[in-house]
Amino acid sequence: MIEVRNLVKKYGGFTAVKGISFKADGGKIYGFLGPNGAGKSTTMNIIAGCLAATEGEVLIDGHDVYKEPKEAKKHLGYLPELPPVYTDMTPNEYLTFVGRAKGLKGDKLKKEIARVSEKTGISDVSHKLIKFLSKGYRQRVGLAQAILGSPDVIILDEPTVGLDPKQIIEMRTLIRELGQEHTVFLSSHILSEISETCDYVMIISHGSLVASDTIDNLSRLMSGNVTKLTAVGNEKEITKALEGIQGITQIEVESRGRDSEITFRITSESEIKEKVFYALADIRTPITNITEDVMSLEDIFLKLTDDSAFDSSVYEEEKDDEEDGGEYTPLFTSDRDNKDNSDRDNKDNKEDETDEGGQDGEKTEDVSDEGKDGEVK
Amino acid sequence: MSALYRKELRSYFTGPMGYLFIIFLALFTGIFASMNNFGGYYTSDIGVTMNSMSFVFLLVTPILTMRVFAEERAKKTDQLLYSLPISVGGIVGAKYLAVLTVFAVPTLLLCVYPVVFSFFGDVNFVRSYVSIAGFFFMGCALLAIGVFISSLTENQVVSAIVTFAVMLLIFFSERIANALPQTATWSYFAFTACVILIGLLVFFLIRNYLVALASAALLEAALSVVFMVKKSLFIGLFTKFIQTMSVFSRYSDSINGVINISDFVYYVSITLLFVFFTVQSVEKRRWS
Repeated sequence: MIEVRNLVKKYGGFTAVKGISFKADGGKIYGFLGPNGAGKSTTMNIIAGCLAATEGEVLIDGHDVYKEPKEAKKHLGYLPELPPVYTDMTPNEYLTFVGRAKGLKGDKLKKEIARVSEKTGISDVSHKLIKFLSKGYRQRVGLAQAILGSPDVIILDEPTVGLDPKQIIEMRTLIRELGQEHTVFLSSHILSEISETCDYVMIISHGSLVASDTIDNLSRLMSGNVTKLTAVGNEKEITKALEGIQGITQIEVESRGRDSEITFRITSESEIKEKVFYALADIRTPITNITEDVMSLEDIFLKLTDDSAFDSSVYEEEKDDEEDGGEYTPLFTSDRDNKDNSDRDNKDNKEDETDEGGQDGEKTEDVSDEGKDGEVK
Repeated sequence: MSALYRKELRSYFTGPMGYLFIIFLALFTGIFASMNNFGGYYTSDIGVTMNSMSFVFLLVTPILTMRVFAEERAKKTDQLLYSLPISVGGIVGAKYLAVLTVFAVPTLLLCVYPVVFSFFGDVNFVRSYVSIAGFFFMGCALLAIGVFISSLTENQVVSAIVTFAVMLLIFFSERIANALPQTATWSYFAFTACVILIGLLVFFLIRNYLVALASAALLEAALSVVFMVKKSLFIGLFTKFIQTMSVFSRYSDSINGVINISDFVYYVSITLLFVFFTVQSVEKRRWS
């Protein structure tokens, strides 16, 4: 368990981290996502106790990293951006040193070293000097060091940088395994990595946490619960049937295809797929396609980290919330106003280029989906 | 802490540095002992050899201390140390103790010399071992200074050169001070220069120029008041001050077998002061 409260880091006049707060529970993988220089490494360094924060506190299993560093760091494993290995040692010697520093002794230490060496696949090279190992192996030795002693919290700063594709896949599998027992923090600017490995995403931009939620929730909330429905039938009848469904706020006709096929864009407050199905079944109108219009992590990332699409008022509100309640409230989950604001801002600035592009993309997808459906039928 | 101590000690002996240091010291002890004790003076007093040995510190201190923190910083392994359950005091303590352990090896070799001398004539063992103890304690103080300098940079070469320059300055400080004019005004300006240096040191340690400026101003004010009230006090004072503070001049007492508690207290104080400075300097890294 890890709790970060209002973390601020200033370098002279420059503020690298501006009041980041979050809570993380065990058995999950958290992904830190952000462009270069957003403050990912700084935040991770602070959590790991390598840097002192200007303000705020970090609790690891209830122990403050600054006030009770020894207790806190017993529950922590950290792999910095560059694997902190001593090149004049062998992996075995290196892990023995780290294990002893973490308070492991004798047989327990040997077993633990054997376990992590096996897990990270460095058993074969355990007696070679680290200076003769490749970047990929050094990275693994660094990871072995971080997971030695099974700490509750494992922090990995860009763990797959410099690895070959096969190693990347292995590393991801390993991280997912670790995520079953430990709280894993992972930073990356590779979006596919985050979306593949992490349960939970935190997007950092300009030193602030701009979003933190599961990828599914983020996608849904960012796209504002838009459902795309393609049905074959009478436009008026379908509209009437849809209007009878609770929770729908807006119905638009997006396009009319051949053979009286109509595509609707439905904005709603909650999930409505099932209701739409029954409503159209009642009027005996076949649905050829129904999809939730979700944004990919790429879209979310670009939307949130694009400077021009930013409205500082959203952050002000968010900060106020934190100060008042003193509790962490994820942006874009509960507060619909915030979301609407950011949606609107985004549209104002980017509608012309992105939205159209997006729609085109959707259309082609729809067509291909239809084709598949047809085949199945 | 013991894990780090063992790792440090190990790294001295897997690389050439530990051996180089020990061989260097042992070699020069041998050369000076055969020159002074077996040839030249024909004396069983190891103090004569110890006296010649003091300049060796100019070279061995940078060799032994340059890597202590600079290497960790350059290779980013310091991040590992910070994330392990070891306090900053523990890190500095373990590293400094490892340095002292390496230094203790040639010192123990030195302890054999009086025994060897005793085969050839009468040896005053108390006097001999006080000499060696003085040598060791002075080494502790100088090595602490070297470790501190290593903690200021991430470049080992810079660390070595600066340490060498500082050792050189300390070594010749007495002679330089003697060559300075002895007038009160001269002393006053020399002390003012010291105050400015202290101010700079404070600034580098805590990066707060208000505090640095305030402490320097306070010291300078006190200095000026004393200068106004009793100018005669300043005549030759700076030279005397350097003589009292000089690490090497205190060495001559113990070399001659004089057990002067104040000298040992002085060495221990210098050691503790610079170990403390090192802790502050390492701690400061995390804040900047």
